[in-house]
Amino acid sequence: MKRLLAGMFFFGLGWSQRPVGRESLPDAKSLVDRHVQESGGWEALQSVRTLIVRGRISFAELGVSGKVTVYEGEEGETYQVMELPGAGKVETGNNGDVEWERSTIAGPKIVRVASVPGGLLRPSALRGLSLLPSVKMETIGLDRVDGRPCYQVRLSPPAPLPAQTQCYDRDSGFLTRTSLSIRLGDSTMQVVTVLRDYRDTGPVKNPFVTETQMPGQSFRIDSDSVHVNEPLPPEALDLPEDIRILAARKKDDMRTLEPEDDPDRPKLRRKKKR
Amino acid sequence: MASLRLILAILSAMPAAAQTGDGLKPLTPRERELNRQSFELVWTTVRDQHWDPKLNGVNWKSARWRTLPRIQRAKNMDEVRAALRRMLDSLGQSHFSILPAEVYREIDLSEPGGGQPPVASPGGGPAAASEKRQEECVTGIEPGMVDGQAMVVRVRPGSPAQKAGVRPGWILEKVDGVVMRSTGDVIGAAEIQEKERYQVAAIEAWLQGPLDKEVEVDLLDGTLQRRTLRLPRMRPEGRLAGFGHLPAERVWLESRRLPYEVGYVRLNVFLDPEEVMPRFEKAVRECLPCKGFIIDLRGNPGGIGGMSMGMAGWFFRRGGQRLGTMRSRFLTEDFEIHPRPETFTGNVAVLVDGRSASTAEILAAGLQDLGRARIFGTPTAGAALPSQILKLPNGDGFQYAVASYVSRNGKKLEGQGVAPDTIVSHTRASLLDGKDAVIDAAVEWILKEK
Repeated sequence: MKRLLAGMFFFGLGWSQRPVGRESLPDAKSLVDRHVQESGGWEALQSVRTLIVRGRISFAELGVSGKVTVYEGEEGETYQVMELPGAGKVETGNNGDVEWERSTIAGPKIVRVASVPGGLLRPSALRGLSLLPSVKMETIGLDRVDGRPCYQVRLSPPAPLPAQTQCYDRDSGFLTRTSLSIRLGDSTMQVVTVLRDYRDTGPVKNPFVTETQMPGQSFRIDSDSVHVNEPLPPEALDLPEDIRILAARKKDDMRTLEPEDDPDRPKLRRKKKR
Repeated sequence: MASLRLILAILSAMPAAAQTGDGLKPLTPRERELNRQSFELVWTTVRDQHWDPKLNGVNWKSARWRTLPRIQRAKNMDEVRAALRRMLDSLGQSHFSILPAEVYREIDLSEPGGGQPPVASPGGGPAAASEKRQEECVTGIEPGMVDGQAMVVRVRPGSPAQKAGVRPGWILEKVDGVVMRSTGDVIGAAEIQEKERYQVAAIEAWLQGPLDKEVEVDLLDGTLQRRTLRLPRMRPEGRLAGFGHLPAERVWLESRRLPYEVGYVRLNVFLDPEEVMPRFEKAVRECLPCKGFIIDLRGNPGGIGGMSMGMAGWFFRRGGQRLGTMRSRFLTEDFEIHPRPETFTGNVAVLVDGRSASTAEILAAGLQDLGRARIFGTPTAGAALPSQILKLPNGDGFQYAVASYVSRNGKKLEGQGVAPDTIVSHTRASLLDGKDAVIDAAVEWILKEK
């Protein structure tokens, strides 16, 4: 969630380029700046250190819904848990050294282990801001979200970050929709997220409802509470025991195996193709 | 997004739910309009969501123009559903079906509160919903088709059938006066997929009924003497559980230690992971030094696909392997195996039959392809497509497959199923001897194989 904010503003602060023939549309930078202002301002955003979100998540097509809790730590560590009746827990975590997933259904999985301590931490809001000068943005038109007019802004960050289109509400100034192509496995798909119901959450305002649509699937998160800069529960970012064992094993494998013997699937696949 | 990927990966399918309802009432103009809208939704969903943009070679536009007049002319809901089913049948694939509104309501979790997501009660919303309907109760007889005959293959301990002295191997002649052989023959002669599943389901349906009503059963015992018994019914075993739009089912897992240090687990359906996965874990953990482990998936129609990944993880030490791959029009997703910290290293046997479908086939085929298990039994149903259920404007449910599935070695399971390494099935003689020929074959292999 904090990363969402970071990404939003990382994309938002780039040098704007006024498109030819679109003089009637507001400048992209001014739209982003207005959203920042409405959300609490730059200083407030940069003061965000921790985030705790509690709410409900529902997958309409599956008829599945349950509780969701998200923790984000000061260094960018994350832990998210969904508790879905009929399915059990679905957890994901990243403490900077280990990125992992675990579910009642499918069991534990080590996604990645870092070769250097903290190597998996993603850019924080502040670190992301340093990249802003290289982001191109332009206002490309007027659209509607939930029946309300909004300005479309096209953002083109440097690779490998994906380009995205955002929509800023004409009246409130808030970001109300993002649209981007993401890669899942071997596939690319268009993901559209609508953001609604911005509320005060300490120093900044956050959307309390997000609805994400992609081909064949959609999910919605209704936040019950969003706490900014509150201390996380001490154990929130600890690795579960099975994950700790599997991560240690994976690290050992990385140390002892020659690269061509690494059992990780991507390498196996590349080897097969040859 | 990682969580989303995880959720997508755990999706799989249940075979179509039972279809009931009178549906003979004449339609009002409003209902006709809703049926037209429902037809449009079904047609466009298949056109836009089917994993194969060529729709298995079917001319879908032509199907539209053939079906729409039937929908418009339909006199009642049964005719509407028949027309839609006929259109869907033209795809020649499993997991495309129409669920009558009364069935869909039983499994619907949709929100009563104006767009608010439903908050399911502990134990699962669908289960709670299904508690409301009168549950079909059982006698304790588990029927099967053996050598073309309807036969008792298992008797539940403590059940009315066991108390009445019913034994495996007895031939089921009649249930409430209906000749079972005829029932099996009619289905057996039909050109349908999953024949064995439907044959046994039909026999089970005759045996099931209200708790307070006895059923009359005519059986031929081991000496071919006719026995007519009036059996009371009992509640079916297992915990009622559902998952999203999948119909709630009674779920049970049986685990025990067989002679010669062989572990054994039998699961009737891949649902209720909160209960089933820890029990599966316990069964494997308690048997880590065993010579072999048997996973019995006979009669298992599938369920939550991801449970196959979680179970397989107990039999592989290294990651980076997959049971197979699911492909939708928008996404390709591997059924990855997630190894556990401790794993079972002995021989693994998987037991299947013609009623093993979907997730059961995914697990069996994946373990077979990876050389981790030997498969015993008879060819599986060949019904392995992941599906979803959508509510139609007329209140019916529309189940549609969202992806294809190929096993790790590229085998399409749909329509073909899993071919066992050792073909073996019950015989009347072995049943009468109190034996299970399929388990015996698996144990024999485990003890022989190093």
